[in-house]
Amino acid sequence: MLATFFLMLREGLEAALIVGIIAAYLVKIERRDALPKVIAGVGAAVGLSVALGLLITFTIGKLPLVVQETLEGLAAVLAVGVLTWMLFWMRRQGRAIKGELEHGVDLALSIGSTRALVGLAFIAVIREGVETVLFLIPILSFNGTGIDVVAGGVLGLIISVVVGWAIFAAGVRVNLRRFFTVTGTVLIFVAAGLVAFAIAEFGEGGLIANTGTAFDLNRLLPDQGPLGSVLRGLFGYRSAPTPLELAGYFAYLIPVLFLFVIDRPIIRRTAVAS
Amino acid sequence: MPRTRRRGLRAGRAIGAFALASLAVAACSGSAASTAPATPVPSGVIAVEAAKDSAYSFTPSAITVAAGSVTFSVKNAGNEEHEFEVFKADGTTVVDEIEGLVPGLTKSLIVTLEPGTYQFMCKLNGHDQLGMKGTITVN
Ligand SMILES: [Cu+2]
Repeated sequence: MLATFFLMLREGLEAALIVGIIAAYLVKIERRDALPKVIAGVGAAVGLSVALGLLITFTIGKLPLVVQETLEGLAAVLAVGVLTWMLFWMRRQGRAIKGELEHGVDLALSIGSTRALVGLAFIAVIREGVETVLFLIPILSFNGTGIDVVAGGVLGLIISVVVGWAIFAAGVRVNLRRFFTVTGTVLIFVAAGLVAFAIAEFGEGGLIANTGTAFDLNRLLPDQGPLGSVLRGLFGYRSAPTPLELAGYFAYLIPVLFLFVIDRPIIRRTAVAS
Repeated sequence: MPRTRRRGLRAGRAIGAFALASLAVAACSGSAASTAPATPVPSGVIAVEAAKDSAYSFTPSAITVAAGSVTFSVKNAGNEEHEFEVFKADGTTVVDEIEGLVPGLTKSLIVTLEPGTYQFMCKLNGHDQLGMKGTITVN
């Protein structure tokens, strides 16, 4: 029961985090009208995940390893790109809104930007969705599993959704400045985790050489354990990363975190421009 | 409130129908050469038990097979999640793998092996270091 619970929690948390932040962001910038589009994007991703998962399971059983790892790696790279763009764009908008709202002016969210946010919600969900469905089908078919194993998996998914909702609710309540600082920082760690994940996937697919162990915390904080699963789902934590994965993580984290902190002058300019 | 309840019921029914459909597929795909995880184990496959008696091991840990297409049917007999990864002799190049092997679950994997040696491991949480590994000799 617990094993399936953490398996599904691991798959669901990251998507829930990103969707929760996007939804809270839209409410904060007075663009509740764009929320249905985000929900539709999430719904489409869930639907497509189930369809693809069923199709793969009942036709070829599983994707060839190279195809699967390459697709997962590319999806992670795409997610990093969109996330990074969103981080800085959100921060600029945040500053602009703050200034403008004080003067009682509404800020228009351009159509292109809304699309990007909906697209990110879609990518975040489908990235985990297909794999989750592929994991769930054999579990749900009771192939040697009991009802408690099934219940654990379903519960893990429900908790993921609840966490996403809690992030949304908390995000809506905190003040704008804190919202941008906190979510921005969290998303940078998420993106850094995705960079390491992409390296791991490309490595497993045999596209790049990715061997060795930078450090080994498997005994101390295993990434499939209770806390490790949560950290892995949220920040791409790995208890025994390869040197290349670790390097990729920090090669993204440090410069982006730095730029995020010193991003003020650019924001001023944008704020004035808009 | 009633709306929520109805939706919950519908979801429950959908999951139920889904589980039934999966069972039906599992029941009639016995003769078909399907790699679907729900397929019953046909003869000639290599049955491997992961974490028998909750130990960090595979049973058997030394496997000898003929070259060509080899089917492994791996059952997780323990009480935590495991994986079954087939590596080339170097122990780092993944040939193929079974992921998401939760307790009680049996999943199959079809790999094409050439004469030589291969390794199999569960690298989840460093289980390989605790003894969850074995060798495959291909003749
Ligand atoms: Cu294991």
